[in-house]
Amino acid sequence: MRSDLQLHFRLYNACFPVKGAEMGLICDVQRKEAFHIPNLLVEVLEKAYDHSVESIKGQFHHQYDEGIDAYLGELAKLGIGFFTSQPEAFPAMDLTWESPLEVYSAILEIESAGNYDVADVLRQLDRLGCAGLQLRFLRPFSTREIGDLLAPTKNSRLKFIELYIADNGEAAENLFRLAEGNRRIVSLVVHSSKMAGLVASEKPGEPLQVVFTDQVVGRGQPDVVRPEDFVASISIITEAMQFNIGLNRKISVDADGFIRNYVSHETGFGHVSGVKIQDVARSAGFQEKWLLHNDRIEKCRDCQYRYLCLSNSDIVEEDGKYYKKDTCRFDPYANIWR
Amino acid sequence: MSAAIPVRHLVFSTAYDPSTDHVLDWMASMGGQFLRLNTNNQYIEKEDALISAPAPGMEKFRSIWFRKICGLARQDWILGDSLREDRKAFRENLDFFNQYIERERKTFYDYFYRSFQSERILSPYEPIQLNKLDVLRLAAATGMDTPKTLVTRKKDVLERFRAEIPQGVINKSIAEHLFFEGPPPEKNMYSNYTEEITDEIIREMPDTFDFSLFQEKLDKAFEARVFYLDGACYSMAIFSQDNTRTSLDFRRYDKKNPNRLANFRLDERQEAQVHSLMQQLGLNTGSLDLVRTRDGRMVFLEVNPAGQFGMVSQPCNYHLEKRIASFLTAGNER
Ligand code: SF4
Repeated sequence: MRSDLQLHFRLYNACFPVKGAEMGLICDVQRKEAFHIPNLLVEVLEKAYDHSVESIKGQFHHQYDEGIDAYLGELAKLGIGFFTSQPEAFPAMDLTWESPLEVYSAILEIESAGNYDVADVLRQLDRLGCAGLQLRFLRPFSTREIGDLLAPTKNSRLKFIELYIADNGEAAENLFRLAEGNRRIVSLVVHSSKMAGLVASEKPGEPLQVVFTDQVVGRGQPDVVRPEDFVASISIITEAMQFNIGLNRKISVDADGFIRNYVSHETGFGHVSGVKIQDVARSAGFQEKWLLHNDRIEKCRDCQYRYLCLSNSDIVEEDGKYYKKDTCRFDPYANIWR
Repeated sequence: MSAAIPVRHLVFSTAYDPSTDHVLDWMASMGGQFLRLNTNNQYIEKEDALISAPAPGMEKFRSIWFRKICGLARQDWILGDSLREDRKAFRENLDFFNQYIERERKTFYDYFYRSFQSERILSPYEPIQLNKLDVLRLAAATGMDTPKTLVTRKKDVLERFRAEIPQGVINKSIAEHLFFEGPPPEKNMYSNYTEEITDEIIREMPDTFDFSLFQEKLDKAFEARVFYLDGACYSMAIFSQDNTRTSLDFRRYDKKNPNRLANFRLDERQEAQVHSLMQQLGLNTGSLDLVRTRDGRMVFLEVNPAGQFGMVSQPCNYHLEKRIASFLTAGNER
């Protein structure tokens, strides 16, 4: 096809090749698409930053010349990558991930107002620069009570708040008013509801909506890994190469006030009335699981979704190997969801 | 005010600007104490009492960042509703009166912003108003490849220019692009954009017209956006040619088929030229637009002193927010 000896191939920035046990994947985080490719092509793409197409063919002893030409040509046609005779002008992206925030987000379970001092926890999180907050109200609280609990967030550094509220019988209108008064609220879900559906705010220029669901959000609610929930950005993928994206810089406070990596995890790190969140967040014990990213976990390390998957499962160690406690339905060795 | 102000870094921005938030998060993590002043709606939120009377001897800041200064927004226009007399005369000259108000404000704000002092200022307030024609000539003098450009009011001059350029000419704004919103309920957004001026268009043009800028059309392989910060270039290639709708002007975004991006590097000589140009303009940061043509030219188009670094930083993972924070907090330790 192309005969230029110096021709190099580059993927566009948004496209990341990932090798799996059976199948490789290209994650296109810009178009929000992922598609399967043979693992051999992933190997070719991994070499592409340092070698010309001809030289890569040579490294495979010219066994796959036609296939390589065909696949790279197809990727160029699909707008996934491009050929260039100026490789030095297109350096590889630096894949390091960094964050200025010690704690990125927090999940708080709230069952009864007296179990722990929510306002104090919110103030502590603010001091840590926490960007996101998810409040899970496990029992019906009135919108008034919720508003009062949220008061300390008003002038905080928090950037977004998600609310999961057990159905209190009030109309969506009340929740819209709550969100109008607190621009940080970006997501409103009413759970344990008799109705299921979506109510959008009728005010023009207001993208707010309330989602009603009959699902119950209970204590230690584990997340289920589903491919439709995979999200991707350059930030997430690069973070996932270094950290466990389901747990990194996240704090959970369960319904009884105990600090955990995630609400469903067994290990507790003390009660918020007795320990400071900052001390816990800075402790090696609490950070241990932040570092156990999917490349270090059995099965996940062979899964092509490992840089997209937000699974926050607890992790157990056996004979120096790490396993996720909540296993997902994906079998990377057969490349099927079971 | 006599109490000492425990602030070392000053940031002018607007409310709800995620790029500013991100840089400030980094500054906080580096131990930098800052004061953020949001300039929306042409008034300084909250802290105005602290600084509304800048006087000699006021606190010198460790650093100042003029991230964003808001202009007069259409909704801030004076509509004359409260006038008792001559309302009609006023209403018929709304544009004129508001231009006057704008000049009044600008003169005050020029004074106001300049009165904040620091040894370390990122995007100095003063040179932010660049003359694009000056910049183009300076770039050419620096040795950069610039497009053949003509400003004229006469059709015959344009025709002669066109005859010299076989690949065609385009027309674009001499200064800034225009954006405005149409009437409700549709509230369509209008803007002008770069357009090719075909021979047919030229034929239909009147003999004279108002000052207009014409430029050789470039056969684009890709565009390059270079974010310049304190001597270093962070570049990104933008591939938009495949799509006819965006082939002339990147501003006409296409959502379904977005432009593709890649980390990019200018060669050493080109980077040195960028550095030299920015120094001559008195800018320590800014965003430069260049075009790579199919025949291998790297053509400089313009400098935007208040360049959006987020649109380069995220796709190329350049960590510019952190680099800006490091620049601003340098010298943090007294
Ligand atoms: S195998 Fe691991 S990485 Fe893959 S989907 Fe399951 S939990 Fe996620």
